[in-house]
Amino acid sequence: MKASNNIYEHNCATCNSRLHSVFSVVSSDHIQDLNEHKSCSIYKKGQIIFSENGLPMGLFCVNSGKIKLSTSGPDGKEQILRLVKGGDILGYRALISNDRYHCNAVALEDCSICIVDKAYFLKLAMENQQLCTALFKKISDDLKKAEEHIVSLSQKNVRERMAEALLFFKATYGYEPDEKTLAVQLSREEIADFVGTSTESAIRLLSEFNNDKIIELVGKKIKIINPEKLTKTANLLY
Amino acid sequence: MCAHSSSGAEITEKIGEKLYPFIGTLIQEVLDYNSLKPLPDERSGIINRFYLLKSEFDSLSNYEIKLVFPSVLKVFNSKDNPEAKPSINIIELQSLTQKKEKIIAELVQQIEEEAVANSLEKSHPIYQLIFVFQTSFIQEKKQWNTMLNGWNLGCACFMAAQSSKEILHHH
Repeated sequence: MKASNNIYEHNCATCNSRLHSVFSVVSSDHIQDLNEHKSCSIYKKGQIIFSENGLPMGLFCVNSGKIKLSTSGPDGKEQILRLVKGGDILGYRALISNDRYHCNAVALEDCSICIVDKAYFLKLAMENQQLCTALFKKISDDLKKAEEHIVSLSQKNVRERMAEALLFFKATYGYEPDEKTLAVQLSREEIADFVGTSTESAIRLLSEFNNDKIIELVGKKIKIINPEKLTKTANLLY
Repeated sequence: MCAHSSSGAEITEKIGEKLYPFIGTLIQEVLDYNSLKPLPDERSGIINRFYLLKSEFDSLSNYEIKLVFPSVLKVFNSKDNPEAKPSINIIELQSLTQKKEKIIAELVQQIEEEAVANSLEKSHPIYQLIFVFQTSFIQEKKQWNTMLNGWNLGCACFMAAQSSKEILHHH
């Protein structure tokens, strides 16, 4: 962690950002105590707040300003994980899991940030049930966002797109009376157009689905024999 | 013809013939701009995500214009001719399109965050695209989904289409 010389006084009792943070649930009795276990600093735009692989010394509470959390990909390119702002806390993952930082935190603009002593924060979190619950919620929300991020980032491959197209055809045209055969006969060119691939790839994919027993090709018709597997292949979490 | 037919035609026309072509123009502007002034490697994440967004938007608009909108209008127009009623599953279709809308919204947010974090110049056309997705796209799709929900609950044509699905399912 790069220390800043711009240390300043900031009182938790009158801090507006605290009201939007996990510490909003801490009772006024504990606020004074919290106030005595933290110090505040101003970080200039571009200043490093903590670095990847650094050991956490405390919990960062952002009062104002924007901070970029980023890491380096295998190719050395910077990958931004997320932005944090006033009312957010920083560095809790490493602190709680007794781990090193897995990313860099850099001030995108001038920021005022408090750091709560590590031992005090961990003790408070263990003793204060409301704070503990707020932290659980924060970590759960982070996990949800990260999972949604992964889904949206992983570009749908052409196999997923074919499965998605078949689900659209099923919802639009329904089944024939056998409750399996799609009640529409589209040419392979038309299917390829929906999938966004070449006709040759569409033919190959349909054949793959047929071999995987997801569908059965009956002439030009398509029978969906495993709708669950088809939905799973489409990677649509609904 | 169903009384909801005109509002259905109006919104599908607004989205399919005005909003989507406009977004298509903005996407083309970003592509043109990027070929003239390609972003350096450290900012390439923005363009990579832009291509994902383009792909997801192209896919959504393709399904809606070719499958979803015509099928919904067909439900209204087949009111007086039950035999012509399509076997569309509105709830399932809405689920599929909403999932794609969610992916689009996530990508737009990620592009915006990266653009801000990388101090991308304000004149870059990607900001206009982000703005249209965050305003017009969100608003129009919200209106469309609200209308679909309303028709599902209060339009006899839609309810008939759904119940015929259920009957088929039970059989």
